[in-house]
Amino acid sequence: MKRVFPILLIALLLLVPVLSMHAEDGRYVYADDDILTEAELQTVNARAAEIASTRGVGVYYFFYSAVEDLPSYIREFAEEHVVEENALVLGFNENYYYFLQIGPVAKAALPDSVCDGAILDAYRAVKGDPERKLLAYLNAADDALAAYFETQSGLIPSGTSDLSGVPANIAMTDGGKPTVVDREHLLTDREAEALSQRLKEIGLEYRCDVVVVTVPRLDGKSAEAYADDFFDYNGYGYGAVPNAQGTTIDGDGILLLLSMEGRDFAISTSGSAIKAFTDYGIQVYLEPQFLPYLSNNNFSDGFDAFADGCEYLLKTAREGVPYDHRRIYSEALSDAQLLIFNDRAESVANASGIGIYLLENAAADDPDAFLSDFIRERLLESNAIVLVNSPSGCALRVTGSLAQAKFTDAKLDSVREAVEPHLNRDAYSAVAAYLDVCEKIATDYAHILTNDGALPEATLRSVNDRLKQLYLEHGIAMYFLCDDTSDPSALARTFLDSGKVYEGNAVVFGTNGSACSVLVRGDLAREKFSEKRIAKLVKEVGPYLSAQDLSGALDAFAARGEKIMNWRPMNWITLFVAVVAGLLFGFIPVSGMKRQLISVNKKTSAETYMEPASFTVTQNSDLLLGKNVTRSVHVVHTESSGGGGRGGSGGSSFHGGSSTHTSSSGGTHGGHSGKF
Amino acid sequence: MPQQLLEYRCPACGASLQFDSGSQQVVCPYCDSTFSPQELIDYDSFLKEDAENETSDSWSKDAERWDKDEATGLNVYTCAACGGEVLGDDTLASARCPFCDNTVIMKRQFTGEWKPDLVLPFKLDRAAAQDAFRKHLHGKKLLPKAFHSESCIEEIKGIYVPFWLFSSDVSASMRFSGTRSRAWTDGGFDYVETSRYALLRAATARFNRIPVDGSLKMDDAMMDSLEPFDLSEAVDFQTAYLSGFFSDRYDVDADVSVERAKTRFSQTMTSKVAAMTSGFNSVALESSTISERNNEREYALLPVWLLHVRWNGKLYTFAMNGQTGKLVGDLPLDKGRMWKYRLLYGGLFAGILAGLCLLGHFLGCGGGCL
Repeated sequence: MKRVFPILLIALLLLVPVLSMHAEDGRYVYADDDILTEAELQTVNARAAEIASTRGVGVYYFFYSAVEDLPSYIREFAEEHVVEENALVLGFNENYYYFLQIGPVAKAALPDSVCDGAILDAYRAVKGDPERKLLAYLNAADDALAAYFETQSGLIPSGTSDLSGVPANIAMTDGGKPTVVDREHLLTDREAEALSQRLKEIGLEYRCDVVVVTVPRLDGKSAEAYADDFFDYNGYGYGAVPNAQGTTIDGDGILLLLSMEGRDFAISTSGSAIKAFTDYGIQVYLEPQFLPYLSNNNFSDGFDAFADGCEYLLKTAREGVPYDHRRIYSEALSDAQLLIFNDRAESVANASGIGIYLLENAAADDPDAFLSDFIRERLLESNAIVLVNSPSGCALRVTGSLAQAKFTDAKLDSVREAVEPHLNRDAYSAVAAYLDVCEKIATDYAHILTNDGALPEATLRSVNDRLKQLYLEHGIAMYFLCDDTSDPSALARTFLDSGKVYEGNAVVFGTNGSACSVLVRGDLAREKFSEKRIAKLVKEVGPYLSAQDLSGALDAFAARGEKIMNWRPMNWITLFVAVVAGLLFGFIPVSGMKRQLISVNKKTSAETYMEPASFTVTQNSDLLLGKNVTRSVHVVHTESSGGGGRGGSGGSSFHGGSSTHTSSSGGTHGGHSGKF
Repeated sequence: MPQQLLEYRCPACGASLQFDSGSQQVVCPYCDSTFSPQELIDYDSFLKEDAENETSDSWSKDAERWDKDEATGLNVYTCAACGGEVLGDDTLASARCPFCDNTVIMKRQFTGEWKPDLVLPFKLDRAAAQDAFRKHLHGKKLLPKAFHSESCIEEIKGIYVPFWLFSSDVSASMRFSGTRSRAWTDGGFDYVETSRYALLRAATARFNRIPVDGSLKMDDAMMDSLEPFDLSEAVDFQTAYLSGFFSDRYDVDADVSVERAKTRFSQTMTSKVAAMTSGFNSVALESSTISERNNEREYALLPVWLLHVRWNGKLYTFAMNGQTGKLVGDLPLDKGRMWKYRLLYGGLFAGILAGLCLLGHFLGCGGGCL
């Protein structure tokens, strides 16, 4: 509705330029010719114009005695004459009056109860002189608006007085607002000045206001609402357009608010900063940077850390891909599509330990450099394949030994082949094709290579899965090769050296059905698969091979392999401790026996000689002497998600991007709030 | 004043009478006549005029014959029955003549301030004491095996031990400082609120007849260990109960003994009152006052069987409550057996724990351990 209205207005203005002349003159009062003189008309219009400029709400009036259908006429009137986004129109004909409120602020500030009550009463209270009647109406409307803004925010909506008292040495934003409003004096003058300079520089560099505000209390609002209102009503935001009611819209900025009473903080983002500061970026990157300082009352360093964090997040956003936990990012895709793709990438990462990244970056001039930075700073896994596509080219890279082993050059070519036809044409198909081919490669895990086509597919898969699971658990890959070769040892050796075995720790079992050979690579594998255990493995698998039962051989191979991997050396220290403890426990019953020998003991109490009923309590009172309360930082023990390997699951509560809400002034904000 | 030894003679045959703990009567071991202690008292007063002459001549304290050093606290009495000399210390009140086994009772030890208020008659005899001793040795695993066979009871003596009985209304008034804390977490901070209190607690209670051994010869701890005595069975003192037993008069004054009773009831009251301070995180005693009122003390003779046992050249003393049969006395420890048992149990536990460890290990690796 908000957007439709100005468009409609512009359309009307274009269609009937003559009619709009009244509005451009600043006319608010319309009446039959004989009611007001020209001078009187000027007085009341001037008053109405004053209200419109201070309150941002136009207050209109007309009196056309000949109008018949007042409600529909008043709408026509409004479309023709009202220029403000928020306005109140009072219309009269011979018999009736009618109020129309336009815009959210007018509707909230001047509900029917107020119009039909206080405002109409004030208008009717003046008898006779139409000029005085009109002024009474305008003043009543002004009072109602003033009262509304008073209750609404505690901030004067025109937004100047609330910023008063800010020291002169504080640097201003591009829009001329102080970057640091330190009502609680948490910083020294020098610190505040230095911080404001830094915030100003960041703001100008990234075209985004960065503001730090400290207040004593929240005046009954939530920290989030207070931060939003402070931002809106004081006119913050880079490139903000002041709107009719004195707030701003569409300004870019981030504001950090601290309220010392309840030790609340809130971060409010607005405009393009909502995208730059994703939920993940704020809560996982930004807040851990500065909140610890604030909790320790080290505000100067805390705000500096906040500034640094903001700068980094703004930089990543400007470079094309905002800081987020998403692996798939493209401006061309909707949030819902991104959500689906990212869920899929996440499940692949969890299953294979390899992150699959595709980043469409319109801003990157040098995709290779961006790719390097991204891999260095923002990967969720240590093994990943990352594709960056930008107008100036496309870069694809693989990092981590596991990923490098899986994504061989030939495989990478197949990835490129699959994706390239769609790139820069159809982002959805490009991502879908990329994920398809990468998932296949990342989760590909063939451990059983056999020329025996008789082996059922299901058996093959189940044993394969089992061996894969063992690899994920223990880090030792097991391979089973069966071929009509005369030299199984050479078969295994060739396979092991072919580069197909990319795991550092591997066991290769080669057989031709009668003889077999086992090769082991890697320290861990050699420790577990000793000569003796390999002999046992061969002994268990051998009979099945002789009996031509390949699936039985595979089962035995996997089962014995699992047992061997599960083996761990006996902990002799534990055993020793157990024996010593056991021997010491032996003293307990013996000390009981020793006690049996002693029966002469001096008596120290007279319990048995007390008359049971005679015990009377004569006094039992507690006097409170004093209280004291100590406060310390609450330490939360969180499990770290391990950094590398199969990371990324920690971000499961984030859906990517930024969540937003609407503030009291109708502006859209992102951000996060909490306690420090 | 000449020392008077009193003995009761059977009105029927003239033999020396003995108090029988089983029937609670005085019996004549020769003609099986039995008398109640009261009958004997009556009979005794009947013979009173004769007794005057007889006793004053027959018994005399003969301290002059001993050197001063040697004689300190030692007296020689002459047995009325055979004329033999009975040696005893200052406090000896009744004894047996080592020559003719007659009971002699020194009457002077029970007169004036030394007259007991109560006597608790023996209920168990010598045989019961022997049984109790054998039972006491039973089931003691660390007692040297040889103690059972080689130990010999050198002496069993029934003694009336002098006890002071103290009764009092005790009030305890104590002041503690206590703290109570409350913790909560709000907005990323942990808060701890500590409240400090002064706790005032007072209580009174009646303690009845706390027995304190009034004889220096008796080990205090051993006498304590014999408790409890059921003093409701105690009777007014009559010398007749003493026939056949040894007895002492007190040689620790009531004023000295009362300190031990005080220690005991103070300890009980303090712990009872301190127990009323629950619900605090920390409690520390600040001050404590104990006062007694309505104090009473009684002087009583309580029955104790004393056993002296010799083993391996050492003397072990045991005491049995002559009323309840409770026997106390520390026994020697067989160190060899102690270590044997320690190793036995220790090995057992060590085996179990090691077994569990191995079992856990084998289960943990799925039986794949080769």
